[in-house]
Amino acid sequence: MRASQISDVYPDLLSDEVDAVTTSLIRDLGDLYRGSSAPAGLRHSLDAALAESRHSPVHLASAHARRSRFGIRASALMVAAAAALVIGVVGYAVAPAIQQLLATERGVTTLPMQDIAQSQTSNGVTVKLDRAYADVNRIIVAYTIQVPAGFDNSTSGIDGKITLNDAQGSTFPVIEGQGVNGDTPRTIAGLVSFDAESLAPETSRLDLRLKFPDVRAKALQQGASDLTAGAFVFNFILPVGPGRTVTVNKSAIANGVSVTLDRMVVTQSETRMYMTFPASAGIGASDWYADVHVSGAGWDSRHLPAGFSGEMTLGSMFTNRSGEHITTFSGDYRSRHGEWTITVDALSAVDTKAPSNGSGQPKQARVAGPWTFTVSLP
Amino acid sequence: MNSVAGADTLLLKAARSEGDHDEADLIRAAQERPEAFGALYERHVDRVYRYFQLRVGPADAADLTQQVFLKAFRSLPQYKSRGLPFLAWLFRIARNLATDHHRSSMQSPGELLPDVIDATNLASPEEATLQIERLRYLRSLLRDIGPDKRELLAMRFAGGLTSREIAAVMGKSEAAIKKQLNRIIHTLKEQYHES
Repeated sequence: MRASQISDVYPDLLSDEVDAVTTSLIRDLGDLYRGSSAPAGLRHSLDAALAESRHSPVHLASAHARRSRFGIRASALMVAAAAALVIGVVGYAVAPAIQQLLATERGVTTLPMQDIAQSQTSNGVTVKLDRAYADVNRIIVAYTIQVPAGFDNSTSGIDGKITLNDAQGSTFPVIEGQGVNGDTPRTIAGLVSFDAESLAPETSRLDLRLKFPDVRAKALQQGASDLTAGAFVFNFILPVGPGRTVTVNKSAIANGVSVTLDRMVVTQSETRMYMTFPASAGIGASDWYADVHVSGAGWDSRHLPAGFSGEMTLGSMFTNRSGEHITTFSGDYRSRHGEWTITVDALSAVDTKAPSNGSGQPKQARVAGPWTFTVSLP
Repeated sequence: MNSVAGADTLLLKAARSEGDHDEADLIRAAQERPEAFGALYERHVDRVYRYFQLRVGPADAADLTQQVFLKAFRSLPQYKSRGLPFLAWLFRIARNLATDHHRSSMQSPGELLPDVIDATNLASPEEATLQIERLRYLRSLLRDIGPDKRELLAMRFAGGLTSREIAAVMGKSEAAIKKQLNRIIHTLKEQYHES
């Protein structure tokens, strides 16, 4: 590959003044990673499978490929939220950026988000709490941050954890967070979910306090000073959607391991399964999670729900303060009355605390099930 | 089986005839006519396959590549760009599948280290020998930079994703990805230059 071709293919890796060593290195990386093409047999078998799907719409609707699930640990999620993740997508105004962000969260677009529309500006940085939602499972807030001209949103954000408290000072733990770029390089939109399981079932309204502890913006010009906007605090009130708790308290044993399904909580935003099981393989309890699917008459959580799109967040798996393992299913299951079959397919663990095993990857473990429970949703 | 084979031919034919079209047109066409999905498949299959070769090894790369395109095919009616490039969407599916694969198979994720392949397109055997030595040395440097950085390189060079597309896959900003890639190049360059 000639130098001119390299600059065409890898413009993002070459600065204005390209030196021969960099060009040679990038060319060699290109050669090293060139690899081989997909085997012809793969093309044939895939096309056959696609054709079969095309001719069998019923089969297509019951796709046997499992919905993948972001098995995100609560601790990791807090870090993720603290880092104010941004997805590098440009070309959207701020409000559409929030719409785009909401659309990536399965089911969130159908939730009755409340317009909050509070904005504050400090040192040229504007933070807007755009809208929010709450039920007894989850509280979701959507916000935007705009930095002044000369600063870059991509390296701006929140230094420290976003916190959400109620009027009594109780803190709602972060479940997950993500973001997207706005219409200019100066704006980002973010979405953070908090765990609301501590709410009493009869809670109908919440006085909330959302705090961005330390918002900063990086100067675009090298050598120029960065900008510190400090903390932003928003006080707002949210209605709380009710939940239906079904007490199960049943245990099942597979491969010598007992799994107890304590309860499930069904709200508009999601359905949660609360389970307990012993940790093993030297991996801490909080690093274990249950891989679960749920089915009922004519439906199965492994199938794409109507109106959902993409392959984005499908739910969460985390451990609460009581050590219970929670698996959530995004979307509104409230109308699925009758018998549910809840199947724990496997228990898996990724050790996030131990040093790597030498290959640079954390220790992993898995216990195969299934553990099956039958529950009735009135 | 005959109908499947016939459809196979149809899909590949569609791929060839539509290969030059703009990707948005290809996506729209595939959403309207499933047989047009072949063009998208042809455009991206090698990139996804190469990525899986590095993530899970050659034994499972083909199977997972097939799963990516089956999932994409099934979800395509619901796919809307919303600024997320199609290739980035495919790689999100691919990363999720690779993670699930490692969990379910209890295998450690791949080292994300490419194998050195003979440089048969060079003018002389001497030139080819020198290049292979350089590539082997470069591969040894890659061992030291950590799996996260190797994954970035795998997506950029094996997957052929742009910084913007990698940013969309990883949930980070384009500027952050560019900065990370440039840091990696800079780090490698210092040692590579010394060689």
